[in-house]
Amino acid sequence: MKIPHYLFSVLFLCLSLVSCIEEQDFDQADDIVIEPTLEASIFYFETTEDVINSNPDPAGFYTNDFNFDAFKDDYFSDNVIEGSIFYQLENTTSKPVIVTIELIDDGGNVLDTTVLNIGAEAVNTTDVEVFYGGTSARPLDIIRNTSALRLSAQNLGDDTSISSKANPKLIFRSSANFKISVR
Amino acid sequence: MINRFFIILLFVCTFLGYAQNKQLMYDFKEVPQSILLNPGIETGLGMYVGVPLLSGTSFQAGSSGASVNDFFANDGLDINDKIRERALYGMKPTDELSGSFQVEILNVGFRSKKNPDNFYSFGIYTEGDAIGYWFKDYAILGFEGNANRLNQRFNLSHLKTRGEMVNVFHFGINKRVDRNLIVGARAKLYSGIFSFRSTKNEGYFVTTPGENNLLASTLVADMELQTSGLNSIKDANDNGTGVGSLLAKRGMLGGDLGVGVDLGFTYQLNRNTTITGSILDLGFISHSNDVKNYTLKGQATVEGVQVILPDALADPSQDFWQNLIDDVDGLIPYEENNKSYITFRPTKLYGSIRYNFGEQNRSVQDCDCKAGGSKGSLGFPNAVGGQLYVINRPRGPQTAVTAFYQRNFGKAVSLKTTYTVDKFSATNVGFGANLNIGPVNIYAMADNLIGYKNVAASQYASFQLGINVISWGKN
Repeated sequence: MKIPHYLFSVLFLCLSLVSCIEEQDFDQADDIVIEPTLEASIFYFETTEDVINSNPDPAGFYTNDFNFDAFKDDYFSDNVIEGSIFYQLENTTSKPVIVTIELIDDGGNVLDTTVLNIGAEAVNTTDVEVFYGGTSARPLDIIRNTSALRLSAQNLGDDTSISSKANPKLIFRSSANFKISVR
Repeated sequence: MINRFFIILLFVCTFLGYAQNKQLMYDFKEVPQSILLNPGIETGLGMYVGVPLLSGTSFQAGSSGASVNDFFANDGLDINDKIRERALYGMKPTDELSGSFQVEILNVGFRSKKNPDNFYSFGIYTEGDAIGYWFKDYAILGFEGNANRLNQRFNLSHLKTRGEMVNVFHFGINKRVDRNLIVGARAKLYSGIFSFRSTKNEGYFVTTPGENNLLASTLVADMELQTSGLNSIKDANDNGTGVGSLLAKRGMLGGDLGVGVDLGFTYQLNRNTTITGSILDLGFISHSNDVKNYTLKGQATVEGVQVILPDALADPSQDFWQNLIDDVDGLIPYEENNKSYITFRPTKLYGSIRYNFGEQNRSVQDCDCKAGGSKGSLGFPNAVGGQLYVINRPRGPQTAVTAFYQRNFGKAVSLKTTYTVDKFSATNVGFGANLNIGPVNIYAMADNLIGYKNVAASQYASFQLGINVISWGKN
């Protein structure tokens, strides 16, 4: 059978369209950076003024250690790059208060301490953000080794008065915001 | 190095999805394997035997989202910016990430001596099929995190995927009913090698201002991943007991079993015009062998460890952290089970209308048929027409429309070119050639040829090739 000559033209045309590729640089894969920033609340503490008044210990009306394994998680501790912990104190009681938050390791050693002061029946909250890693003075190892939080609260006022505000409370809030290196 | 290879492989697998449309093969009557796409095709063959592993190999690749070139082109741009622009925020949850392949192990067809109107075919092929959709919100959460995204819901339904690898044992009958009509049916027995499915996920993750604390993290999940065969493959790999022999065993009716059917027809409207249609893989597989399913169902909102006095004074030494973990585990339990499940095959529908013209070659006719003695529509040198393709997918049917032109040079050479529009490409031009050299039949087909100008930028590509031994007409 005679194959028409234009068949070869068609085949040539098709082949000429095949197998071209623009220059690719797969080394760019080495430059891929995946560093999500995650944030969540970590610790909440609330007490009524009655509790404060009921414990007139001058060293502090409350202190306790709380197990906190979130930072000890292997994946987190191995890959955390930098971040911060944000603390907020709200006080509607009739006395000024100091709240101390300490980060503690497995051996009970205090790794970092943050103190928050707030006046009686404060209009504004006391906000403190503590940075770790990156350009901050606090190394990330503080976070990596933290396995417990110690919260201590000290009443700087009297132990009998009751705030005129409805349902007076001391409230401590906190959240963490950390960048993780996935790649 | 391995890490880099993995990343590249991930990109290739993620952004080069595979489609299943075989528009070049469909109704390409001169190619024996076309009977697998329409059991009711009009064929002039008396017999064919496929060369094992070479008779029907097909591979197709496509992407409805982005291409390798979009990320790895040497364009001086930061690859992280390209990922954010073109993948994270450039692709939609409906963009496909999937794959399929087919390799024939055995394929034989022959015309009945007693009744030449009947053409029988049978064989075995291995088929792998997988599809996933762009898990957009998961990717954003993974790349960017949830910080500074208050009230933004990350949709868990963006994880939608399924896949399986099966051996298909089939037997088909093709029968000319009268001078105008040919019908066909193919029974299929599926031997499932492995399967995974996670297609009905619902829920979200969101960070909102807390009721007590600064932030509230809420997870509402109704998720399930069903698997079959994967655990034994993993065990065989870990124990070094031979993955190959396990796959062979599961593929030879030792795995999950299912049944299905293909139906098709060709109807000659007049001397020059025919219409065809087929429905393929109308069936299911029951997965009851080596099944392992994983579920995550429930909802919880957490605001961190919460210590509220005076209530907490009742048990000051309690482990508030562990209580929180236990509460979340209780509200959103992660569970495993071995419940069997059924998957329906990705059913495909083909249809076409074809206009033949030119002087019909009388040496290339249908059989010496008793049912009407029709010349059929074989042997025309030219044909033009249109084809429709629909496949059932987890996010609903996908459609492709094709226009084609076919040129035959006697029995020896047949060429077919197609232009297809689908979700992958609006400029898909394909070309197929079928050569008969004596009793040897060779065919090769390639898709989206324009895209081959820069393969890395192509969002769709495919090829099919095969070698058969054939004879024509009545045995």
